[in-house]
Amino acid sequence: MSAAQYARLVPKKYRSRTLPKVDRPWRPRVIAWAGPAAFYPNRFYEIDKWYKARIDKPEKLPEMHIIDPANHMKSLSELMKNPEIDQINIGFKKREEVVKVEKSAEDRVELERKSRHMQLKIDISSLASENLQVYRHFRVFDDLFGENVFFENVQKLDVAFQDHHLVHSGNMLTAETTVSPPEISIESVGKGGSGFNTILMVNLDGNATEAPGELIHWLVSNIPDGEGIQKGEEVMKYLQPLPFYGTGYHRVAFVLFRHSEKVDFKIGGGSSLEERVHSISDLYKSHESQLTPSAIRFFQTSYDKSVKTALHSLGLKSPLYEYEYRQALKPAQREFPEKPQPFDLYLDMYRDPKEVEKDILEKRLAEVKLDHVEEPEWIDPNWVENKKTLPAWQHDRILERRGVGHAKYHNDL
Amino acid sequence: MFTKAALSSLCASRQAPISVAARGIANIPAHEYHIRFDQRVGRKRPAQDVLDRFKRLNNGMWIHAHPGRHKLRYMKDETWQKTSLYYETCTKEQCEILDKLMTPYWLRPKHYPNDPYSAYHVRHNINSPRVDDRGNFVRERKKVLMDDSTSQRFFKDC
Repeated sequence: MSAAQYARLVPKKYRSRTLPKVDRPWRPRVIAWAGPAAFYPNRFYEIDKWYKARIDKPEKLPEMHIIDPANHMKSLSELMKNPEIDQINIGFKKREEVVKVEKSAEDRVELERKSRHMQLKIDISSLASENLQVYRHFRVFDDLFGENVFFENVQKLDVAFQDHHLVHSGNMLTAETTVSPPEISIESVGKGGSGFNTILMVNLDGNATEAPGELIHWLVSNIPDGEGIQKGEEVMKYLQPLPFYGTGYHRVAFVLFRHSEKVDFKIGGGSSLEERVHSISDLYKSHESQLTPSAIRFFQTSYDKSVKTALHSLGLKSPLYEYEYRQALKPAQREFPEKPQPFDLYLDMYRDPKEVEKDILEKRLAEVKLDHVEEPEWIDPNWVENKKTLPAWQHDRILERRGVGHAKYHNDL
Repeated sequence: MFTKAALSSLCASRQAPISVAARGIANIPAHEYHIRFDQRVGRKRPAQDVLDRFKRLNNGMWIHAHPGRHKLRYMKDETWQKTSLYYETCTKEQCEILDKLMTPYWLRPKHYPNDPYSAYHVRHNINSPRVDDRGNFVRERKKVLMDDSTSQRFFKDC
Protein backbone atom coordinates (compact mmCIF):
# COMPACT_ATOMS: atom_id res chain seq x y z
CA MET A 1 0.00 0.00 0.00
CA SER A 2 1.25 3.42 -0.86
CA ALA A 3 1.21 6.41 1.42
CA ALA A 4 -1.76 7.83 -0.41
CA GLN A 5 -3.74 4.64 0.11
CA TYR A 6 -2.97 4.66 3.82
CA ALA A 7 -4.05 8.26 4.08
CA ARG A 8 -7.39 7.43 2.39
CA LEU A 9 -8.27 5.15 5.30
CA VAL A 10 -8.56 8.24 7.49
CA PRO A 11 -11.64 10.42 6.97
CA LYS A 12 -10.79 13.69 5.31
CA LYS A 13 -12.06 15.58 8.32
CA TYR A 14 -9.25 14.23 10.48
CA ARG A 15 -6.46 14.62 7.99
CA SER A 16 -4.31 17.62 8.63
CA ARG A 17 -4.28 20.23 5.91
CA THR A 18 -0.71 21.31 6.45
CA LEU A 19 2.42 19.55 7.52
CA PRO A 20 3.46 20.20 11.10
CA LYS A 21 6.16 22.76 10.63
CA VAL A 22 9.60 22.75 12.11
CA ASP A 23 9.47 24.49 15.46
CA ARG A 24 10.28 28.12 15.23
CA PRO A 25 11.84 29.64 18.32
CA TRP A 26 8.88 31.16 20.16
CA ARG A 27 10.51 31.45 23.59
CA PRO A 28 12.50 34.59 22.73
CA ARG A 29 9.29 36.34 21.79
CA VAL A 30 7.63 35.36 25.06
CA ILE A 31 10.73 36.56 26.90
CA ALA A 32 10.61 39.84 25.03
CA TRP A 33 7.01 40.25 26.09
CA ALA A 34 7.10 38.93 29.67
CA GLY A 35 10.65 39.75 30.69
CA PRO A 36 13.76 37.61 31.22
CA ALA A 37 12.27 35.74 34.17
CA ALA A 38 9.54 34.20 32.06
CA PHE A 39 11.04 30.73 31.96
CA TYR A 40 13.24 30.75 35.02
CA PRO A 41 12.68 27.64 37.08
CA ASN A 42 11.13 28.44 40.40
CA ARG A 43 13.74 27.84 43.02
CA PHE A 44 11.49 28.46 46.06
CA TYR A 45 9.73 25.13 45.93
CA GLU A 46 11.11 21.67 45.64
CA ILE A 47 10.52 21.13 42.01
CA ASP A 48 11.51 17.65 41.04
CA LYS A 49 10.59 15.77 44.15
CA TRP A 50 9.51 12.79 42.12
CA TYR A 51 12.80 12.60 40.31
CA LYS A 52 14.92 13.08 43.40
CA ALA A 53 13.25 10.23 45.21
CA ARG A 54 14.39 7.86 42.55
CA ILE A 55 18.07 8.62 42.42
CA ASP A 56 19.85 5.46 43.45
CA LYS A 57 22.62 5.64 45.97
CA PRO A 58 25.94 4.36 44.63
CA GLU A 59 26.10 0.67 45.32
CA LYS A 60 29.07 -0.38 47.43
CA LEU A 61 30.32 -3.85 46.70
CA PRO A 62 32.70 -5.68 49.01
CA GLU A 63 36.17 -6.16 47.61
CA MET A 64 36.80 -9.51 46.06
CA HIS A 65 39.24 -11.87 47.64
CA ILE A 66 41.47 -12.92 44.81
CA ILE A 67 42.90 -16.40 44.74
CA ASP A 68 45.51 -17.18 42.17
CA PRO A 69 44.50 -20.64 40.92
CA ALA A 70 48.07 -21.52 40.00
CA ASN A 71 49.38 -21.02 43.52
CA HIS A 72 46.55 -21.75 45.90
CA MET A 73 47.49 -25.41 46.43
CA LYS A 74 50.92 -24.49 47.79
CA SER A 75 51.54 -24.06 51.47
CA LEU A 76 52.57 -20.73 52.91
CA SER A 77 56.14 -21.81 53.57
CA GLU A 78 56.39 -22.93 49.97
CA LEU A 79 55.03 -19.63 48.74
CA MET A 80 57.38 -17.61 50.91
CA LYS A 81 60.41 -19.54 49.80
CA ASN A 82 61.90 -17.56 46.97
CA PRO A 83 64.04 -19.72 44.77
CA GLU A 84 67.22 -17.72 44.44
CA ILE A 85 69.59 -18.32 41.62
CA ASP A 86 73.18 -17.87 42.57
CA GLN A 87 74.53 -14.68 41.16
CA ILE A 88 78.08 -14.97 39.89
CA ASN A 89 80.48 -12.23 40.84
CA ILE A 90 82.85 -11.71 37.93
CA GLY A 91 84.63 -8.78 39.54
CA PHE A 92 86.63 -8.13 42.65
CA LYS A 93 85.73 -8.73 46.25
CA LYS A 94 83.84 -5.88 47.87
CA ARG A 95 86.01 -3.34 49.58
CA GLU A 96 85.78 -3.12 53.33
CA GLU A 97 83.92 -0.01 54.31
CA VAL A 98 85.07 2.33 57.00
CA VAL A 99 83.30 1.39 60.22
CA LYS A 100 80.97 4.13 61.22
CA VAL A 101 81.18 5.64 64.67
CA GLU A 102 78.49 4.41 67.02
CA LYS A 103 76.19 7.17 68.10
CA SER A 104 75.69 7.77 71.80
CA ALA A 105 72.24 8.12 73.34
CA GLU A 106 72.73 11.86 73.69
CA ASP A 107 73.62 12.19 70.04
CA ARG A 108 70.51 10.30 69.10
CA VAL A 109 68.36 12.62 71.17
CA GLU A 110 69.99 15.60 69.55
CA LEU A 111 69.51 14.18 66.06
CA GLU A 112 65.90 13.38 66.82
CA ARG A 113 65.31 16.92 68.02
CA LYS A 114 66.92 18.36 64.89
CA SER A 115 64.89 16.22 62.56
CA ARG A 116 61.70 17.18 64.40
CA HIS A 117 62.52 20.86 63.90
CA MET A 118 63.41 20.31 60.24
CA GLN A 119 67.01 21.30 60.90
CA LEU A 120 68.70 18.00 60.20
CA LYS A 121 70.79 18.39 57.08
CA ILE A 122 72.26 15.44 55.24
CA ASP A 123 75.01 15.88 52.71
CA ILE A 124 73.84 13.77 49.82
CA SER A 125 77.24 13.65 48.15
CA SER A 126 78.77 12.00 51.22
CA LEU A 127 76.25 9.16 51.16
CA ALA A 128 77.19 5.89 49.56
CA SER A 129 74.87 5.73 46.59
CA GLU A 130 76.32 2.60 45.08
CA ASN A 131 73.31 0.42 44.72
CA LEU A 132 73.54 -2.55 42.41
CA GLN A 133 69.76 -2.99 42.51
CA VAL A 134 69.48 -0.11 40.04
CA TYR A 135 71.72 -1.91 37.59
CA ARG A 136 69.75 -5.11 38.04
CA HIS A 137 66.52 -3.24 37.51
CA PHE A 138 67.74 -1.78 34.24
CA ARG A 139 69.26 -5.15 33.24
CA VAL A 140 72.61 -3.54 32.64
CA PHE A 141 74.66 -6.55 33.75
CA ASP A 142 72.38 -8.99 31.93
CA ASP A 143 72.66 -7.14 28.65
CA LEU A 144 76.39 -6.63 28.96
CA PHE A 145 77.67 -9.98 30.25
CA GLY A 146 74.70 -12.35 30.27
CA GLU A 147 72.27 -13.60 32.88
CA ASN A 148 73.03 -13.92 36.60
CA VAL A 149 76.28 -12.03 36.52
CA PHE A 150 77.33 -8.98 38.47
CA PHE A 151 80.36 -7.23 39.87
CA GLU A 152 81.00 -4.74 42.62
CA ASN A 153 82.14 -1.17 42.21
CA VAL A 154 85.56 -1.33 43.79
CA GLN A 155 87.35 1.46 41.97
CA LYS A 156 86.30 5.07 42.06
CA LEU A 157 85.29 6.29 38.62
CA ASP A 158 84.14 9.82 37.90
CA VAL A 159 82.66 10.61 34.50
CA ALA A 160 81.66 14.20 33.86
CA PHE A 161 80.27 15.63 30.63
CA GLN A 162 80.95 19.32 30.14
CA ASP A 163 82.45 19.60 33.66
CA HIS A 164 79.28 19.34 35.70
CA HIS A 165 77.02 16.71 34.10
CA LEU A 166 78.07 13.73 36.19
CA VAL A 167 77.21 10.17 35.32
CA HIS A 168 75.76 8.28 38.29
CA SER A 169 73.63 5.17 38.07
CA GLY A 170 70.92 5.71 35.50
CA ASN A 171 70.49 9.47 35.56
CA MET A 172 69.15 11.27 32.49
CA LEU A 173 71.44 13.36 30.34
CA THR A 174 70.36 15.19 27.24
CA ALA A 175 72.07 14.15 24.04
CA GLU A 176 73.33 17.69 23.62
CA THR A 177 75.57 17.45 26.70
CA THR A 178 77.29 14.34 25.38
CA VAL A 179 78.54 15.89 22.15
CA SER A 180 82.13 16.08 23.33
CA PRO A 181 83.99 13.30 25.22
CA PRO A 182 83.67 13.39 29.00
CA GLU A 183 86.34 14.04 31.59
CA ILE A 184 87.19 10.75 33.25
CA SER A 185 89.15 10.37 36.45
CA ILE A 186 90.08 6.90 37.63
CA GLU A 187 91.22 6.09 41.13
CA SER A 188 94.68 4.63 41.42
CA VAL A 189 94.57 1.30 43.21
CA GLY A 190 97.73 -0.48 42.01
CA LYS A 191 100.70 -0.82 44.31
CA GLY A 192 103.69 1.04 42.98
CA GLY A 193 101.96 2.18 39.82
CA SER A 194 101.52 -1.30 38.35
CA GLY A 195 98.54 -2.44 36.35
CA PHE A 196 96.37 -0.94 33.63
CA ASN A 197 92.84 0.33 33.24
CA THR A 198 90.56 0.10 30.23
CA ILE A 199 87.49 2.25 29.89
CA LEU A 200 84.63 1.21 27.64
CA MET A 201 81.57 3.27 26.72
CA VAL A 202 78.70 1.20 25.33
CA ASN A 203 75.19 1.97 24.21
CA LEU A 204 73.10 -1.03 25.20
CA ASP A 205 70.12 -0.02 23.06
CA GLY A 206 71.84 1.65 20.14
CA ASN A 207 72.34 -1.30 17.82
CA ALA A 208 70.10 -0.67 14.83
CA THR A 209 71.60 -3.47 12.71
CA GLU A 210 70.54 -7.10 12.52
CA ALA A 211 73.87 -8.27 13.93
CA PRO A 212 73.82 -9.18 17.64
CA GLY A 213 75.81 -6.94 19.93
CA GLU A 214 76.03 -3.49 21.39
CA LEU A 215 77.27 -0.22 19.99
CA ILE A 216 80.71 0.75 21.28
CA HIS A 217 81.08 4.51 21.50
CA TRP A 218 84.48 4.79 23.01
CA LEU A 219 87.20 2.36 23.97
CA VAL A 220 90.45 3.51 25.57
CA SER A 221 92.67 0.66 26.67
CA ASN A 222 95.95 0.20 28.53
CA ILE A 223 95.73 3.34 30.63
CA PRO A 224 98.61 3.08 33.10
CA ASP A 225 97.48 3.09 36.71
CA GLY A 226 97.26 6.56 38.20
CA GLU A 227 97.58 8.28 34.83
CA GLY A 228 95.04 10.22 32.80
CA ILE A 229 93.05 8.87 29.91
CA GLN A 230 95.37 10.57 27.42
CA LYS A 231 98.10 8.05 28.22
CA GLY A 232 95.98 5.14 27.03
CA GLU A 233 95.52 3.77 23.52
CA GLU A 234 92.33 4.97 21.90
CA VAL A 235 91.12 1.78 20.21
CA MET A 236 87.78 3.25 19.21
CA LYS A 237 87.33 6.97 18.79
CA TYR A 238 84.64 8.83 20.70
CA LEU A 239 81.22 9.02 19.12
CA GLN A 240 78.38 10.73 20.90
CA PRO A 241 75.41 8.51 21.84
CA LEU A 242 72.87 8.40 19.01
CA PRO A 243 69.43 7.62 20.34
CA PHE A 244 67.34 7.68 17.17
CA TYR A 245 64.03 9.53 17.04
CA GLY A 246 61.25 7.44 18.51
CA THR A 247 63.44 4.81 20.17
CA GLY A 248 62.98 6.21 23.67
CA TYR A 249 65.69 6.20 26.30
CA HIS A 250 69.01 4.49 25.62
CA ARG A 251 71.19 3.09 28.41
CA VAL A 252 74.78 4.14 27.94
CA ALA A 253 77.24 2.41 30.27
CA PHE A 254 80.84 3.16 31.22
CA VAL A 255 82.64 -0.02 32.23
CA LEU A 256 86.09 0.08 33.78
CA PHE A 257 88.28 -2.98 33.40
CA ARG A 258 91.41 -3.72 35.39
CA HIS A 259 94.30 -5.77 34.04
CA SER A 260 97.89 -6.34 34.99
CA GLU A 261 99.32 -6.69 31.46
CA LYS A 262 98.66 -4.80 28.26
CA VAL A 263 95.74 -6.12 26.24
CA ASP A 264 95.28 -6.03 22.49
CA PHE A 265 91.54 -6.00 21.74
CA LYS A 266 91.94 -6.76 18.02
CA ILE A 267 88.96 -4.62 17.09
CA GLY A 268 89.18 -2.91 13.75
CA GLY A 269 89.31 0.82 14.17
CA GLY A 270 86.45 1.41 11.72
CA SER A 271 84.31 4.29 12.84
CA SER A 272 81.08 3.55 10.93
CA LEU A 273 78.07 2.50 12.96
CA GLU A 274 78.11 -1.08 11.65
CA GLU A 275 81.78 -1.53 12.53
CA ARG A 276 81.18 -0.32 16.06
CA VAL A 277 78.72 -3.11 16.82
CA HIS A 278 80.37 -5.81 18.95
CA SER A 279 79.03 -8.28 21.43
CA ILE A 280 80.44 -7.16 24.77
CA SER A 281 80.02 -10.55 26.37
CA ASP A 282 82.02 -12.17 23.53
CA LEU A 283 84.65 -9.48 23.76
CA TYR A 284 84.93 -10.04 27.49
CA LYS A 285 84.95 -13.81 27.09
CA SER A 286 87.91 -13.70 24.72
CA HIS A 287 89.97 -11.67 27.18
CA GLU A 288 88.52 -13.13 30.35
CA SER A 289 91.83 -14.32 31.74
CA GLN A 290 93.31 -10.81 31.70
CA LEU A 291 90.38 -8.46 32.23
CA THR A 292 88.42 -7.96 35.42
CA PRO A 293 85.62 -5.40 35.58
CA SER A 294 86.04 -3.09 38.52
CA ALA A 295 83.58 -0.22 38.12
CA ILE A 296 80.47 0.68 36.18
CA ARG A 297 78.37 3.79 35.65
CA PHE A 298 75.49 4.39 33.30
CA PHE A 299 73.19 7.15 32.17
CA GLN A 300 70.21 7.46 29.86
CA THR A 301 69.64 9.73 26.88
CA SER A 302 66.91 10.28 24.37
CA TYR A 303 66.63 11.96 20.99
CA ASP A 304 67.68 15.54 20.64
CA LYS A 305 68.46 17.87 17.77
CA SER A 306 72.17 17.26 18.28
CA VAL A 307 71.65 13.61 17.30
CA LYS A 308 70.37 14.71 13.93
CA THR A 309 73.31 17.01 13.29
CA ALA A 310 75.75 14.30 14.39
CA LEU A 311 74.19 11.78 12.01
CA HIS A 312 74.25 14.29 9.18
CA SER A 313 77.92 14.97 9.81
CA LEU A 314 78.56 11.22 9.53
CA GLY A 315 76.88 11.31 6.13
CA LEU A 316 73.79 9.46 7.38
CA LYS A 317 70.14 10.38 7.55
CA SER A 318 68.36 10.59 10.87
CA PRO A 319 65.96 7.64 10.97
CA LEU A 320 62.49 8.11 12.45
CA TYR A 321 61.15 5.11 14.33
CA GLU A 322 57.45 4.75 14.87
CA TYR A 323 55.41 2.27 16.81
CA GLU A 324 53.22 0.25 14.51
CA TYR A 325 49.93 -0.11 16.30
CA ARG A 326 47.66 -2.97 15.49
CA GLN A 327 44.77 -1.98 13.25
CA ALA A 328 41.57 -1.23 15.12
CA LEU A 329 38.97 -3.95 14.79
CA LYS A 330 36.07 -2.53 12.84
CA PRO A 331 33.17 -3.81 10.79
CA ALA A 332 33.40 -3.78 7.01
CA GLN A 333 32.38 -0.44 5.62
CA ARG A 334 29.08 -0.22 3.78
CA GLU A 335 28.18 2.48 1.36
CA PHE A 336 24.84 2.93 3.10
CA PRO A 337 24.77 1.35 6.57
CA GLU A 338 21.54 -0.50 7.33
CA LYS A 339 21.05 0.98 10.77
CA PRO A 340 21.44 4.70 11.31
CA GLN A 341 25.02 5.47 12.32
CA PRO A 342 26.53 8.70 13.63
CA PHE A 343 27.85 9.98 10.35
CA ASP A 344 31.02 11.66 11.59
CA LEU A 345 32.15 8.72 13.70
CA TYR A 346 31.24 6.22 10.99
CA LEU A 347 33.13 8.02 8.23
CA ASP A 348 36.09 8.82 10.47
CA MET A 349 36.44 5.15 11.38
CA TYR A 350 37.42 4.31 7.80
CA ARG A 351 39.65 7.29 7.20
CA ASP A 352 43.39 6.88 7.50
CA PRO A 353 44.18 7.91 11.11
CA LYS A 354 47.30 9.67 9.90
CA GLU A 355 45.23 11.76 7.55
CA VAL A 356 42.88 12.66 10.37
CA GLU A 357 45.82 13.78 12.47
CA LYS A 358 47.22 15.76 9.59
CA ASP A 359 43.90 17.45 9.23
CA ILE A 360 43.96 18.44 12.89
CA LEU A 361 47.49 19.74 12.59
CA GLU A 362 46.62 21.86 9.58
CA LYS A 363 43.72 23.32 11.51
CA ARG A 364 46.01 24.00 14.42
CA LEU A 365 48.54 25.79 12.25
CA ALA A 366 45.74 27.85 10.76
CA GLU A 367 44.49 29.10 14.11
CA VAL A 368 47.49 29.05 16.41
CA LYS A 369 50.64 31.01 15.87
CA LEU A 370 53.81 28.97 15.90
CA ASP A 371 55.38 30.93 18.73
CA HIS A 372 52.33 30.47 20.88
CA VAL A 373 51.23 26.86 21.00
CA GLU A 374 50.24 26.58 24.63
CA GLU A 375 47.08 24.84 25.56
CA PRO A 376 44.46 27.41 26.57
CA GLU A 377 43.42 27.36 30.19
CA TRP A 378 39.73 26.89 29.42
CA ILE A 379 38.69 24.40 26.80
CA ASP A 380 35.63 26.30 25.69
CA PRO A 381 35.02 29.68 27.29
CA ASN A 382 32.07 30.19 24.96
CA TRP A 383 30.37 26.96 26.05
CA VAL A 384 26.83 28.22 26.58
CA GLU A 385 26.66 29.88 23.20
CA ASN A 386 28.31 26.96 21.42
CA LYS A 387 26.00 24.46 23.09
CA LYS A 388 23.05 26.31 21.65
CA THR A 389 24.32 27.04 18.17
CA LEU A 390 26.69 24.28 17.15
CA PRO A 391 25.65 20.75 16.29
CA ALA A 392 26.68 18.32 19.01
CA TRP A 393 29.36 16.58 16.93
CA GLN A 394 31.06 19.88 16.21
CA HIS A 395 30.87 20.99 19.81
CA ASP A 396 32.41 17.67 20.90
CA ARG A 397 35.40 18.45 18.70
CA ILE A 398 36.01 21.63 20.64
CA LEU A 399 35.62 19.95 24.01
CA GLU A 400 37.83 17.03 23.06
CA ARG A 401 41.26 17.09 24.63
CA ARG A 402 41.94 13.39 24.54
CA GLY A 403 41.92 11.27 21.39
CA VAL A 404 42.29 13.03 18.10
CA GLY A 405 41.94 16.48 19.64
CA HIS A 406 45.00 15.77 21.75
CA ALA A 407 47.24 16.28 18.72
CA LYS A 408 46.09 19.85 18.41
CA TYR A 409 48.31 21.07 21.20
CA HIS A 410 50.60 18.08 21.78
CA ASN A 411 52.33 17.31 18.52
CA ASP A 412 55.99 17.17 17.65
CA LEU A 413 56.45 19.33 14.63
CA MET B 1 -0.16 43.35 31.29
CA PHE B 2 -0.90 39.75 30.59
CA THR B 3 -3.80 39.27 28.26
CA LYS B 4 -5.00 36.06 26.77
CA ALA B 5 -5.17 37.51 23.31
CA ALA B 6 -1.60 38.69 23.40
CA LEU B 7 -0.27 35.32 24.42
CA SER B 8 -2.31 33.48 21.82
CA SER B 9 -1.02 35.82 19.12
CA LEU B 10 2.49 35.16 20.30
CA CYS B 11 2.08 31.43 20.04
CA ALA B 12 0.01 31.54 16.89
CA SER B 13 2.94 30.86 14.63
CA ARG B 14 3.66 27.67 16.50
CA GLN B 15 1.59 24.61 15.82
CA ALA B 16 -0.49 23.69 18.84
CA PRO B 17 1.16 20.46 19.98
CA ILE B 18 -2.04 18.70 21.02
CA SER B 19 -3.58 18.81 17.56
CA VAL B 20 -0.71 16.80 16.03
CA ALA B 21 -0.05 14.49 18.94
CA ALA B 22 -0.24 11.38 16.80
CA ARG B 23 2.36 11.30 14.06
CA GLY B 24 1.17 9.27 11.16
CA ILE B 25 0.72 9.21 7.47
CA ALA B 26 -2.68 10.89 7.88
CA ASN B 27 -1.04 13.92 9.32
CA ILE B 28 1.17 14.41 6.30
CA PRO B 29 -0.95 16.07 3.63
CA ALA B 30 -0.95 14.50 0.21
CA HIS B 31 0.90 17.34 -1.48
CA GLU B 32 3.91 16.78 0.76
CA TYR B 33 4.76 13.25 -0.23
CA HIS B 34 4.52 13.86 -3.93
CA ILE B 35 6.98 15.44 -6.20
CA ARG B 36 5.38 18.79 -6.93
CA PHE B 37 5.71 20.91 -9.99
CA ASP B 38 5.38 24.66 -9.74
CA GLN B 39 2.88 26.02 -12.22
CA ARG B 40 4.46 29.40 -12.35
CA VAL B 41 8.02 28.26 -12.82
CA GLY B 42 7.02 25.22 -14.78
CA ARG B 43 9.35 22.77 -13.13
CA LYS B 44 9.96 20.64 -10.08
CA ARG B 45 10.16 22.33 -6.68
CA PRO B 46 12.38 20.86 -4.00
CA ALA B 47 10.59 19.68 -0.86
CA GLN B 48 11.31 22.48 1.59
CA ASP B 49 10.72 20.20 4.55
CA VAL B 50 13.49 17.89 3.46
CA LEU B 51 15.86 20.82 3.08
CA ASP B 52 14.92 21.97 6.58
CA ARG B 53 15.50 18.65 8.27
CA PHE B 54 18.18 16.86 6.29
CA LYS B 55 21.61 17.52 4.86
CA ARG B 56 23.10 15.93 1.80
CA LEU B 57 26.83 15.26 1.73
CA ASN B 58 28.54 15.50 -1.63
CA ASN B 59 29.01 11.74 -1.76
CA GLY B 60 25.25 11.19 -1.85
CA MET B 61 24.76 10.36 1.81
CA TRP B 62 21.90 12.10 3.57
CA ILE B 63 22.17 12.81 7.27
CA HIS B 64 19.63 14.00 9.77
CA ALA B 65 19.30 14.72 13.46
CA HIS B 66 17.87 12.04 15.71
CA PRO B 67 14.09 12.47 15.76
CA GLY B 68 12.60 12.96 19.20
CA ARG B 69 15.86 13.87 20.87
CA HIS B 70 14.19 16.61 22.91
CA LYS B 71 11.39 14.42 24.24
CA LEU B 72 11.44 13.44 27.93
CA ARG B 73 15.20 13.58 28.08
CA TYR B 74 15.27 13.45 31.86
CA MET B 75 13.64 10.02 31.87
CA LYS B 76 16.19 8.44 29.58
CA ASP B 77 19.55 6.91 30.27
CA GLU B 78 22.96 8.45 29.81
CA THR B 79 23.82 6.49 26.72
CA TRP B 80 20.74 7.79 25.05
CA GLN B 81 21.48 11.33 26.18
CA LYS B 82 24.73 11.07 24.31
CA THR B 83 23.75 9.08 21.24
CA SER B 84 20.57 11.02 20.63
CA LEU B 85 22.68 14.05 19.76
CA TYR B 86 24.37 12.27 16.88
CA TYR B 87 23.57 13.20 13.30
CA GLU B 88 22.55 9.94 11.72
CA THR B 89 22.94 8.43 8.30
CA CYS B 90 20.01 7.40 6.13
CA THR B 91 19.57 4.05 4.47
CA LYS B 92 20.03 3.65 0.76
CA GLU B 93 16.32 3.61 0.09
CA GLN B 94 15.77 6.78 2.09
CA CYS B 95 18.62 8.49 0.28
CA GLU B 96 17.13 7.60 -3.08
CA ILE B 97 13.71 8.94 -2.08
CA LEU B 98 15.20 12.16 -0.74
CA ASP B 99 17.21 12.58 -3.93
CA LYS B 100 14.00 12.33 -5.92
CA LEU B 101 12.41 15.08 -3.85
CA MET B 102 15.27 17.43 -4.75
CA THR B 103 16.03 19.40 -7.87
CA PRO B 104 19.29 18.86 -9.75
CA TYR B 105 20.65 21.97 -8.08
CA TRP B 106 20.62 20.32 -4.66
CA LEU B 107 22.18 17.14 -6.01
CA ARG B 108 25.18 19.00 -7.33
CA PRO B 109 28.33 18.82 -5.19
CA LYS B 110 28.77 21.99 -3.21
CA HIS B 111 31.93 23.48 -1.79
CA TYR B 112 31.80 26.17 0.86
CA PRO B 113 34.63 28.00 2.61
CA ASN B 114 35.30 26.72 6.15
CA ASP B 115 32.82 23.92 5.68
CA PRO B 116 32.74 21.78 8.84
CA TYR B 117 31.53 18.88 6.72
CA SER B 118 34.42 19.17 4.26
CA ALA B 119 36.14 16.03 5.54
CA TYR B 120 33.00 13.97 5.01
CA HIS B 121 32.24 14.81 1.41
CA VAL B 122 34.38 11.93 0.14
CA ARG B 123 34.33 8.27 1.09
CA HIS B 124 37.55 6.40 1.78
CA ASN B 125 38.40 2.71 1.51
CA ILE B 126 35.14 1.74 -0.05
CA ASN B 127 34.95 -0.84 -2.80
CA SER B 128 31.40 -0.86 -4.05
CA PRO B 129 30.83 -0.07 -7.75
CA ARG B 130 31.80 3.46 -8.71
CA VAL B 131 29.28 3.63 -11.52
CA ASP B 132 25.50 3.53 -11.47
CA ASP B 133 23.28 1.72 -13.99
CA ARG B 134 23.58 4.58 -16.47
CA GLY B 135 27.36 4.57 -16.34
CA ASN B 136 27.68 7.79 -14.33
CA PHE B 137 30.17 8.02 -11.52
CA VAL B 138 28.36 7.77 -8.21
CA ARG B 139 30.75 9.19 -5.66
CA GLU B 140 33.20 11.00 -7.88
CA ARG B 141 33.49 14.28 -9.63
CA LYS B 142 32.95 14.47 -13.36
CA LYS B 143 36.19 13.67 -15.10
CA VAL B 144 38.26 16.50 -16.44
CA LEU B 145 40.81 15.78 -19.13
CA MET B 146 44.00 15.54 -17.10
CA ASP B 147 47.11 13.43 -17.00
CA ASP B 148 46.93 10.45 -14.68
CA SER B 149 49.68 11.47 -12.24
CA THR B 150 48.04 14.81 -11.48
CA SER B 151 44.67 13.16 -11.14
CA GLN B 152 46.06 10.54 -8.75
CA ARG B 153 47.82 13.17 -6.72
CA PHE B 154 45.16 15.77 -6.24
CA PHE B 155 41.85 14.10 -7.02
CA LYS B 156 42.27 10.62 -5.55
CA ASP B 157 39.07 10.56 -3.57
CA CYS B 158 37.02 13.16 -5.39
